[in-house]
Amino acid sequence: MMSISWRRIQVIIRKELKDALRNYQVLMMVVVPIGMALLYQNMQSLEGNQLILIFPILMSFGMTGTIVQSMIIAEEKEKHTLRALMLSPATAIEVMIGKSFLSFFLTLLTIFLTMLVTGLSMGISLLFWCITLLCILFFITVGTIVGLMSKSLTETAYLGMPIMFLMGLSPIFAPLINKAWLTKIVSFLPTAHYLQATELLMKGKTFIVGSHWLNITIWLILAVIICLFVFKRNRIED
Amino acid sequence: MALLEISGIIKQDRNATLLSPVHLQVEPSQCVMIRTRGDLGTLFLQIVLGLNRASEGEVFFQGERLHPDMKKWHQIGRFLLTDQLYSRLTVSEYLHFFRGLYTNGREIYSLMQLMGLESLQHKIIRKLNNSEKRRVHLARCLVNDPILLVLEDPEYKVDLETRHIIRKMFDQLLKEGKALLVTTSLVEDALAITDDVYLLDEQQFKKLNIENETDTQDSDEENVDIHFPVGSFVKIPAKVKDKILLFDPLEINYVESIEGKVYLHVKSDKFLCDLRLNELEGQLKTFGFFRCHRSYIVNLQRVREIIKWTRNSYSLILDDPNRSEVPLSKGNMEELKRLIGI
Repeated sequence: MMSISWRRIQVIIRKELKDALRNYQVLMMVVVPIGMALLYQNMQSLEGNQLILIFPILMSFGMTGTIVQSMIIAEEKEKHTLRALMLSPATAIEVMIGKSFLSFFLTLLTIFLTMLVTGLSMGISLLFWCITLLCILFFITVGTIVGLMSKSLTETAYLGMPIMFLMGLSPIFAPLINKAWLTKIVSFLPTAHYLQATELLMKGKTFIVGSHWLNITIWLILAVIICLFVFKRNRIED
Repeated sequence: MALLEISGIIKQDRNATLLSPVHLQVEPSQCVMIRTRGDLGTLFLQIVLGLNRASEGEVFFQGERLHPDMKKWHQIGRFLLTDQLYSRLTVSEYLHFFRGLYTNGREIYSLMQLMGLESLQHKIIRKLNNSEKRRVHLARCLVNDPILLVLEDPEYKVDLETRHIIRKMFDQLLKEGKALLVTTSLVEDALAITDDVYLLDEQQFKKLNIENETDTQDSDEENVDIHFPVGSFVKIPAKVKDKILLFDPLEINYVESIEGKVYLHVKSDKFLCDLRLNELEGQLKTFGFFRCHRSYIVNLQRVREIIKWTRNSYSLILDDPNRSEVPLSKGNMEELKRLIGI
């Protein structure tokens, strides 16, 4: 196993950034959650229901985290550009770190901007950002799995969209449907716990270290294990 | 020890043989060109590059068996026709990105000059035409200054300017002691670049023999002059199945000898001829034909352009419907100039 070179990762990140800034599909994934935030901000009827302002954040988890990450990985696979990279001293791990870094940065930026637009304020911001970072990591890992499993950009949509809706948006819609079995399933999702945790924070309370952190961490660990497995298998195939 | 040694690779799929045994050695400063069909060329290069598994046989690079985790990969530059570029980067950004991954390599600006890209360096790759994109691909293969280049049909569907640049690049690389393994679909192109031309198809892999036709050239010339004085009745016979066609010499665009078989190129078809190239040369000389290469006789009346690729590589472009291209050896350039009167 070759060692990881920080210099090469920097080169990869710089390239990914230049590439992403000219990629309209990627920019769309940044613009839509911010647009949503603007929309909610101007909805008078929602006053008092601050929880809905978390919606753009959940959206950017799915869109800027999962979808962007899977798109930039799948695009490389589809165009065989990854192969040219694999002949270079750059390792697959370095390429993945570079790409994840970009998606991470973009998601963080998007969330920050949506919060600026909605004027959402958190009681204890350190706790909020910690749990947000944990969630971003989870969604980017999921994006990596989707990207590695799909052979083309269009395939990421088939795989990524359901995951985005299930993981990202179901905690918002499930209470509206209000079926016991659905509520039960949704209550296991990391985003449900994220929602509950932020609700507590908005009320100015700290939340108990236990269940919310534990849930999201378990999801993250599971995702990382699956990701490593998929990565090993797909690398041999490619 | 050869730089690259291909030792008896075979590819079989179920019961069909896709690739017959290939034995080949490539030395530094050598350019080996392989004339083959597109898909077969792709398969062959994929095996050489470890992207596809051979059924039998091995490939060695500097004596080390090629395997996917080999550290020496970055000493090999590679271009396959399926390769694609990062279309949203500019030419300069793209090359600097690849250069940045290596600790050693070429200076990007001089590389862009070599590949005729300096005026395009700030253009987004998506907006380049196919010929320009090909040059970016080839420049990318060179960023780390590899000692072996493996290229799939680099002149496939590119403009004349790009072909000029590619041949200049080959010349430069060979001068630097690099080795080239290149596939092509045209023997004419291959012969204009190198004498190491191999033919690859499902049945066989063998070197194109271009030596044997030159031995008795001088004596033949004299004989022929006696037998065929100017203005005598001459028809050139060619066989098609069990018929014999007779061609007026002036109908012939050029004559080509591949693997000891002589073909007459007439209009856009080619016909097998039983005469030897030297015999034909003698007969056709008086009709304005010229032996421009060991394996080619060209009808000078059909020549439209003389192209100088590099200092020692030339081609003749004919005005036939195919705009055929015939290689011209450096040694025959003076003779040609004398004949045309320049």
